[in-house]
Amino acid sequence: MNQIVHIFRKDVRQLRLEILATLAVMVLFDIFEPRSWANSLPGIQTEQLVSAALTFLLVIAWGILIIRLIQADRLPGVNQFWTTRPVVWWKLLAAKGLFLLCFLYAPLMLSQMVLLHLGGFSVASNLPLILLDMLLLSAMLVLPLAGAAAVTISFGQTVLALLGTLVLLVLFVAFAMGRNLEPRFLASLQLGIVVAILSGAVVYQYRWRATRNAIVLCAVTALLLISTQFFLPGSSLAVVGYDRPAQGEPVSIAIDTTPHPKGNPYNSVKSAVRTVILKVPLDVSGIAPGTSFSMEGQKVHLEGPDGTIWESHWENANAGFGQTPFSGTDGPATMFVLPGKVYERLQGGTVSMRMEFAVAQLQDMPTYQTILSTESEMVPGLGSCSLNEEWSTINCRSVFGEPSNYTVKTFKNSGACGVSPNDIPASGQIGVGSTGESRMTHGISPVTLSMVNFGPPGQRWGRICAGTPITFAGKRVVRRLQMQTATATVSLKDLAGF
Amino acid sequence: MNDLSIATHSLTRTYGALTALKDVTLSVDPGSVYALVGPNGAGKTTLIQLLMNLQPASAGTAEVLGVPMGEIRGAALNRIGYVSESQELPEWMTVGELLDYLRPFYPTWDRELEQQLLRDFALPRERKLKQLSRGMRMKAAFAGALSFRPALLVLDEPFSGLDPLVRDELIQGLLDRIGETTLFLSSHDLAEIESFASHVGYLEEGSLLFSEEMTTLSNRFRQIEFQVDPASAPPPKLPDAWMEFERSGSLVRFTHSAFVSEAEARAEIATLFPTAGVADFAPMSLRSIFLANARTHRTLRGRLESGGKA
Repeated sequence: MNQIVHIFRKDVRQLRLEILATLAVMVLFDIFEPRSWANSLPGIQTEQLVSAALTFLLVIAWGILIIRLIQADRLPGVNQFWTTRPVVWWKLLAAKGLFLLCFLYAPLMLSQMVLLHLGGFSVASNLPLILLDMLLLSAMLVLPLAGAAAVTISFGQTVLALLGTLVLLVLFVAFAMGRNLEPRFLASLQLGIVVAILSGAVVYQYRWRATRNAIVLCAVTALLLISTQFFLPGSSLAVVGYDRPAQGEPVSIAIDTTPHPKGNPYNSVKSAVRTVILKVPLDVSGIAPGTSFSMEGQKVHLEGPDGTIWESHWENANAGFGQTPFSGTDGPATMFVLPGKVYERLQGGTVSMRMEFAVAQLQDMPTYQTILSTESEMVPGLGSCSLNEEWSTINCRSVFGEPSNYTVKTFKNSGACGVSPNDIPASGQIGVGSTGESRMTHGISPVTLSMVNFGPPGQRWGRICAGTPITFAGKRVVRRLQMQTATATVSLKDLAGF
Repeated sequence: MNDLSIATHSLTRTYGALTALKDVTLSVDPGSVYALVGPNGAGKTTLIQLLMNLQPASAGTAEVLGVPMGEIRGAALNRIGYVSESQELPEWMTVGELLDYLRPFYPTWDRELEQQLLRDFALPRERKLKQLSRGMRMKAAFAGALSFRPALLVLDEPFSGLDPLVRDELIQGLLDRIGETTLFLSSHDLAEIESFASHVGYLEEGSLLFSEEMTTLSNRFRQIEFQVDPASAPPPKLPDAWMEFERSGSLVRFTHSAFVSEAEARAEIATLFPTAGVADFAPMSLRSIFLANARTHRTLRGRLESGGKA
């Protein structure tokens, strides 16, 4: 233990300037970040810019601190001072861990607690999320930086190695990202890969100082990340977690083969290229009141009269074409992209078509009603919401991520509040996605600000007066399941709208 | 387990096709001062780095103070001091901070000795290492390596590039420790080494050509000169122990590497050169022995290479 503290104290002395700089940026961040949640639109824009700049600075400061810390007792090479002294490897590693705990994790946790408190949230009940954020910070920042610093001999070399890896990963991920459905476990799997293998590489390098092997472990991490991103989306593993429908499932889905007016707008643009976009009308029945479904993935099977079989991967059901929820009311449909060559081969006659879907079943949550005010009010599922000072929109602060999609209904006033009636119905959305799930976005600040998007634009000019009733209506996912249609006979030309 | 300070057995280190160290077997007795000499690139630093577990051996084994070299780390370094010309020091520290930092690592740290070394080496305690000259930095490294009274002190080219005054101070510092500490050092400063080394090992192209006591070495090397009849025919083959053989007119000169006694050498000369006159036998310095070995090895290698090409 003495050796751990002794090395820790040495590192503190050596890196005191870096520590001070990091803590100073963090204090500034804690000062400016709450201002970016201000209820005034012009204020938000300036403060958010400052806050974003401080976030960037903080990440850079942490990066410098971590690299300098690891390389204060450099691992590769044969000329290091410490390697010929009675330094026990695990105590050296523990000293570095203690340093990060004291000057990175602890200040960040404290900062997040302060920000949560200032944001009007309970610190105690959000402690698990803060700890999860520390784990994500380790996986996304600390471990990659520590790994790179542990296998390189200088700050410049570390930065180059990191930049090279980052560019490679971004290129591969950009290449692999597409319309394929990602397994819901992919992010957790990748997180596990980074934490397990990079931690292993760092410990291995401290124990054996076998730099080449440690570099191989780091490269394996990058390769596994790329491979999982490349091969898992679209595969049969993409629908892991989507239950098979039980016997007697009331909801059914079928391909609607009744003739529809032509006019698939996408192919007027895309017809000259090598893909054809097909729009498939669906017939959905058996949806209970208060329930809706959000299509998250789909897979298409086609068989031509000549025996030609084409099968898609599991694709995002709404990739590039907006969301395609089907609520069983007016003509639900889905779209998929067919390679031009397949279309050319199958378009002549009718084809047998079958579709599989990965869907989320949503349940309406109880509507929350309140009276608008510029004072914050805790809306269940959304966070701390209030009318902004310009009386133009509703701001909501949520913890670690944006809230799920809520429909907000109120009335605007085209004249002066208190004089003219609040007679313009205003409806807007707040939050992201259609799945009814909050999107967890872990970062340095635990508080995220969202605004209600009151559309269409013509409605924005009215004021929302304090004291006006407002309702928040949200949905939540109750289950995920796989559904499939029966085989139907269709003409691709009809689906393409030609 | 043995009582030797260092024992290596067929130690080999290769880097791809290059053999940096080849089948090196040597032993260093406790309390001795073992000087490892050899030309640049002979493998001296590689051998030391293997012993200090700074890099792994390709083959062979070694024990340092009875500990297998692969386990030389952590607590095993409590009794081993190491100073190298190429070793990085925490230059942001002052001399005092360096010693303060090192002290808790060593249970046997002697604060009185530390103070004495600071005085002897005239080291400024408050000065940062990066502000010191190369010689002063080496002195600071020596102070850090001697203050815990190591059982073994390993020095890699410790005097390289230092002025004579600093060398003398460092050597005096080492001389004061002789007896309680085994010294194992590599160096080009043969004159200095000769003054205090008890054993010497000669490395050439990764091979240990000899490893023996200084007195034995000095006794078996002699520079020999004698006159012969200029018209006399040279012998068909010279003994292997005769190095750097030269004949210029009537004068013959060579280095005898297996000298036992003047009588035996005269008899040997008389057999090969019947017309030889009175021979002159001169003892050789370590530097002369080093040079004779290096030149001979180089000549032999040249012959082998040209023979190979032919």
